[in-house]
Amino acid sequence: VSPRPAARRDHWSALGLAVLALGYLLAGRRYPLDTLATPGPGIFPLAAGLALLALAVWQGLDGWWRPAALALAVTAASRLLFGTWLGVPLP
Amino acid sequence: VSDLFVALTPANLLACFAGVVLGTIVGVLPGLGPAGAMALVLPLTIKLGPTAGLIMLAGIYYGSMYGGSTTSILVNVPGEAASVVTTIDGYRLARKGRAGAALAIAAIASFVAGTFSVVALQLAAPFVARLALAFGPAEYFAFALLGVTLLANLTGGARAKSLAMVVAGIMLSTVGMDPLGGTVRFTFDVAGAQAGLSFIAVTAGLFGVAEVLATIAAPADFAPVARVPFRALYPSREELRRSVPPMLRGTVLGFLVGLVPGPAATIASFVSYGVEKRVSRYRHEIGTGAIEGVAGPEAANNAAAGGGMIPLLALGLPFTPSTAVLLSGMLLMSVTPGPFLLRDHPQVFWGVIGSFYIGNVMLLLLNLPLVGIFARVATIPPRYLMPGVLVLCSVAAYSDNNNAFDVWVMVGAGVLGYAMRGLGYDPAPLVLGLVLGPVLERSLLQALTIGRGDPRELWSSAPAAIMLVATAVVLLAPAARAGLRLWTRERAS
Repeated sequence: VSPRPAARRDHWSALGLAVLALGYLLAGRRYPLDTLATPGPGIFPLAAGLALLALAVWQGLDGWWRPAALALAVTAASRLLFGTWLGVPLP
Repeated sequence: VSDLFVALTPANLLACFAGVVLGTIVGVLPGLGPAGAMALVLPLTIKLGPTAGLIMLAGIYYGSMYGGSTTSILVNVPGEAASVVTTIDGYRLARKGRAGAALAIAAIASFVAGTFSVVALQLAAPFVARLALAFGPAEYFAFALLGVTLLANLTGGARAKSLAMVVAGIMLSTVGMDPLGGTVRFTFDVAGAQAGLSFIAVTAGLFGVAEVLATIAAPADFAPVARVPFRALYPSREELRRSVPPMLRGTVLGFLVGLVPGPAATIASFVSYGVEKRVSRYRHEIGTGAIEGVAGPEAANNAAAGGGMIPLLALGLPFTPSTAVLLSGMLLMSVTPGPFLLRDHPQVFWGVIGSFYIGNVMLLLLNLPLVGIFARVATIPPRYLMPGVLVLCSVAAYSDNNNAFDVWVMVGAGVLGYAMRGLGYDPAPLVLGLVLGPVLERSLLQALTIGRGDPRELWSSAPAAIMLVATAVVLLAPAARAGLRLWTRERAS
């Protein structure tokens, strides 16, 4: 069954946003990130590009893919927060 | 208190009148913003002396807030950054034949908010200014982040789409020099892009040019509005009644937002619209042409203009480009703003405050009779009106920086805005991202530098932590609510 026109339109626009985000991230590679203590001009564009990519992926997903992606993102963020950064031993 | 009456001398009254008339014209015409206009007349005001000169400069500043809504309502082109939100309901009201009512409510809301902010400025200046100084980079980052998250979904469309547009706006704001180091980014060797994308060019394109393209694509949807009798040009009793609560809420919100550094009038109008969308009794109508969508934001941007005077007068700190020009004017006239302004120059301080009262009355008297003339613009057939809109947009885009590149930016933004309409994306969140992008970047990088790279600096103070938690709640609440609803339904079945 082909998706409804509105859903199909959203999928295509999500793909467009993802391409835009990837292009922006690629163009932003030429600006140094430096360190968090002395942040370079590339750090904020990197965060913005990744945010748009995540939102495009979120918009492009439907059905059970969305909760699956959310669960994966929360797990990865928790791993980074507790395991890598705060150093809390995880079971 | 007798110094307040200094504003009533003929020279000062004339300076006030000239200032508010100039300000209204600057507000009506997109392109030359209040800061630019104030800078242009600065040499003249120096000749007038400190009191009359500063009265004139201040008149341009708050007069532009009054005039900014006119083109937003009539032709969907915001005259000022702070009037972008007014296009959403104002233009729809104009299409319904209520342009006159929307313009009159905008003028009344501006008057109420302007007068309130003067009273508050007079009473609370020193206390509130100290409070505003407690905002450091971390607090401001959290505040801006909460703002974009809360306000992304202004018009009630799909949340992911609105957030994507905010981020796209933030990305566009990174074109040009980076705010801390001055590195030129994403210009692709185009000299005109080094100063960044002109805000005026982007908004003129997204709203004005997109409107022209939509009219060309579907002329039947844009039939001219029928002429209405003179009495019907003004707001009905029902419209006035409905405008009071949003006007009051917008005034208080706008005044408080005005105390915070950054593009306060623009943020205040967005905040007010977002609040009305949630708390108004008629919230289901907002976005379709509701008077609340005009009254709240118009009150908020005027109150923010008044609020922004507090840090300037009480502490000598300008938080917006317009108040920065005002500060230069004061310094050129040997008047140093700050804690000793009242002691050293009481006549200047109270004269300017007194002129605010008079200026607000002048603006109301000036704007209300013009409503009938302006409202007739909405009745012009699109085949005559739209070329005019295109010229207005091009002049606005070009005159912002006298740069032909900005005209191309406007054309690009127009095509983008038209495509966004077709795909169900709202341009307002993109504009919000464009405005708040530099604020977010600057405050984030400053906070990280202060914390020597430790991200915990971002939530080291209680207000910042509370605002970041609120941001997380706002982001996750819809998903949690949907999950809870699903769980309840499954349990019930």
